[in-house]
Amino acid sequence: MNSLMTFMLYADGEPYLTLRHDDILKLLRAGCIDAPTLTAEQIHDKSKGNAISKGLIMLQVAWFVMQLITRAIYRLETTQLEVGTLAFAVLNFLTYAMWWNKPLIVQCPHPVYWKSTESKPEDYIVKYVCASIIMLLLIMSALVVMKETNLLRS
Amino acid sequence: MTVALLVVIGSINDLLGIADTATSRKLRVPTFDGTIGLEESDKMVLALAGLLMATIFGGIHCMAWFFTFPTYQEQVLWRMSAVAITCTPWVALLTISLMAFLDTPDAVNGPVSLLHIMLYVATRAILLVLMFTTLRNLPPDAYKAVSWTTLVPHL
Repeated sequence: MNSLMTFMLYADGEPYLTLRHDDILKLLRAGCIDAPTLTAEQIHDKSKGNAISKGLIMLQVAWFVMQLITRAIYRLETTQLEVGTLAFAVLNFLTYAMWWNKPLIVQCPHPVYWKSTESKPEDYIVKYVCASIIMLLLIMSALVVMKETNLLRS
Repeated sequence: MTVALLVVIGSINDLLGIADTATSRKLRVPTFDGTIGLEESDKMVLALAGLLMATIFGGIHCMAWFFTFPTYQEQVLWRMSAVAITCTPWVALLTISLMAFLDTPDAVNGPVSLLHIMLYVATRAILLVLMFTTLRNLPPDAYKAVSWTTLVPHL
């Protein structure tokens, strides 16, 4: 579903909601869920990328960069398109370095089961969602009004 | 226009997860989860890293400074745009801190920030278009490939 490792809350055997770090803490403190146990190996097992798939792309980019360098040494013309590609390739290198350990294309979230019988998930989460949607809409409409008035003035 | 703006802001918001929306909330998480609270110093480091990346990106475009262009106008346009995308992030940082220092009203801050964004987007678009239009008339050298076999001794 998404490339991020997530926890999915199951209530009555149905997937209910993806949990975020603040939700997990809140529900843990309220005693509604058990702390999810997950090892580093289990997280890496979710990844569909490996050293070969990542290494191949790195190799291709390195080959491209090397060709540009030798072209410069032999004083052969380089096109503007190649310079633009090089700019993206360098950023690509930096992204790969940052995301090297991040599990790629995680499709199944880790299940967390609702165990409390006295309360329901709605009591904890839905109200909060509604409040924040209203807040978001208010902020966005305020932004829009600000932008429109500024445009009208100038 | 308002609706279009809302759609754009909404989709960016979904990606970054700045605030909760119904779609991003229910059964998936935002791609770039921005909900984790960061320290002020971490935010500074992130902003600086972003600026550095933008500078590297723009700097590489500046490498085409003395390249052959089909027309002189295109060369000037490329140079101006390359300098613009390299410097705009820093200029934006300067003006934002200056505006924060001078405590200018929002009516000034908004349009000034918008101007920077528009400048950046326009120059990036110009560079992208030029990359392809300059292909129409390449110098003969651009078609030559490096003959790797001559680099191997005794072949």
